[in-house]
Amino acid sequence: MSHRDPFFCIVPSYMLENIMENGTSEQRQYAMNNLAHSVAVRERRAARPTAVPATAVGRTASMPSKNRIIYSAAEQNILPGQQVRSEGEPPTGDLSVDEAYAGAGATYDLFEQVYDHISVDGHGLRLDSTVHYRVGYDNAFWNGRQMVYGDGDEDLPEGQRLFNRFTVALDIIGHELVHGVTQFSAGLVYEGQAGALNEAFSDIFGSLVKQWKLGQTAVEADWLIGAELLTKNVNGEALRSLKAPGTAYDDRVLGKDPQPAHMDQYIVTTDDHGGVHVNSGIPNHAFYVAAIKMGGSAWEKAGRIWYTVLQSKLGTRATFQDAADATHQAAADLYGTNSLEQEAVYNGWTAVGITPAPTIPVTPPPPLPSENTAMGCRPTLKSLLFLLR
Amino acid sequence: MEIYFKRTGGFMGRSIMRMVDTAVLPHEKATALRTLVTQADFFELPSETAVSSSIADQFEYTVLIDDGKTHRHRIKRGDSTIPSTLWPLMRELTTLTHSEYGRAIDDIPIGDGGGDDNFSPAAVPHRPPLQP
Ligand SMILES: [Zn+2]
Repeated sequence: MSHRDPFFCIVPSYMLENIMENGTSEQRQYAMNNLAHSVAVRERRAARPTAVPATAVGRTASMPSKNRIIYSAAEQNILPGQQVRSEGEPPTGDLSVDEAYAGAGATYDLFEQVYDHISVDGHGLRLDSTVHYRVGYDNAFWNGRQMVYGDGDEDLPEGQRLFNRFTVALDIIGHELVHGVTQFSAGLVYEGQAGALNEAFSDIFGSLVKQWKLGQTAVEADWLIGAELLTKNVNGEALRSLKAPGTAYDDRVLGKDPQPAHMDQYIVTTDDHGGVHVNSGIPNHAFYVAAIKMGGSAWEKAGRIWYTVLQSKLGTRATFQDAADATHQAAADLYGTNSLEQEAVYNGWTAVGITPAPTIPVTPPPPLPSENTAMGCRPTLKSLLFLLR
Repeated sequence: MEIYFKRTGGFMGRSIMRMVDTAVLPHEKATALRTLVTQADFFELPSETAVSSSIADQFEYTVLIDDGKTHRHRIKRGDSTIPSTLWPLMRELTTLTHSEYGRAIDDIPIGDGGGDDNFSPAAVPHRPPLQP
């Protein structure tokens, strides 16, 4: 079921979640079957600006602004849980809460200041995060409406812990939030190559949030996902590497990083929706190579090309080839045919075994007013097209 | 009691597939595990729940438990459909499969009852426990 399917569901999902906890087995079955539908409806409602009263998200229609709320699940599984920090409130002293708040803020800032994209939906949707989810929860996820973070192996003796809390790495927070951005734009289905692209966009922009926050060039960046997450008990530096997929960890308990960096090693599996978290290594590495070849800061040019493609150039079931063709064309649209940027994109994809299709020739766009670019509010292609209508 | 455990997906995308046999566990660990199975009301849980495709990075679990007597049941769950009563068992199994007690397996065996593993022991003839 796609989240774009039209349907109507009248039972609120918190009720369904309650039923799953407390209902009879028949009721639970009904609730479980309907929960996914309910999440999708909430997304659709949240996506319609008129469906969300401006006051409820702390903004007016004319002035969308950053609005974060952090909740604590208090080691339970009820979402979103108890509100513990909202926009503008001072730090709480709870590391997970404050990291989730700061990380959502940094991600929001990158998208707003560099890509002129306001929040996950482009219209200022409130950013909700829940921390302290369950006990011993080694994970983070995006449930279609909000981010959720576990505390890792906090319930185990220190000598046995493999994972720290999942808010510890800014790129993990960025990754989760970008799942929201993808959901409201390309809507890539979470399966096969489209799912691996969905994952790659999250890793790429998750890494870009960190690079942007640290002011690192493409060459200076570590290109790791979750560098702070693994404890000293694990032989590994991170969960994934865009620079060298397959090399992030090699551990007695966790095994070896299984990510391929080339189509020759594409993993065919039914697990994890067709290996979305492993095969993402291929498009991840294509972006890395392209960004390095372009030089400078990766979020500026490579990031802009991938952002443009995510917003308007991909179908929901896009393949790696589709992404290669679209980024190759977008590079031509933005920077000119045979530009250094277009060649870098071409080199990125061929490095992973994918040859982008020839592009429709375009002339380089006229230079934009310097005062705009200097202020970091360069209009996006989408906004230019809007103005031309 | 034999427990087959598979976990896929999650942020890390790392798959776990292991089995744990309470016969080889230290006595107190085996007792604790049996208690968690009881507390979860495992054999009465619906066998499968829809895993939402709009949830990114969630874990998906497949667990089969054979108590060697009257119960053999298999369930499949996503993170969002695990009731709080079942979570402690899932957590303990994750930890156990990371320990020396977890044994590598190729697949999770099918449960009794074919497509619907939700069977009543009284209605379905008992099948002997799986051979390792
Ligand atoms: Zn993800």
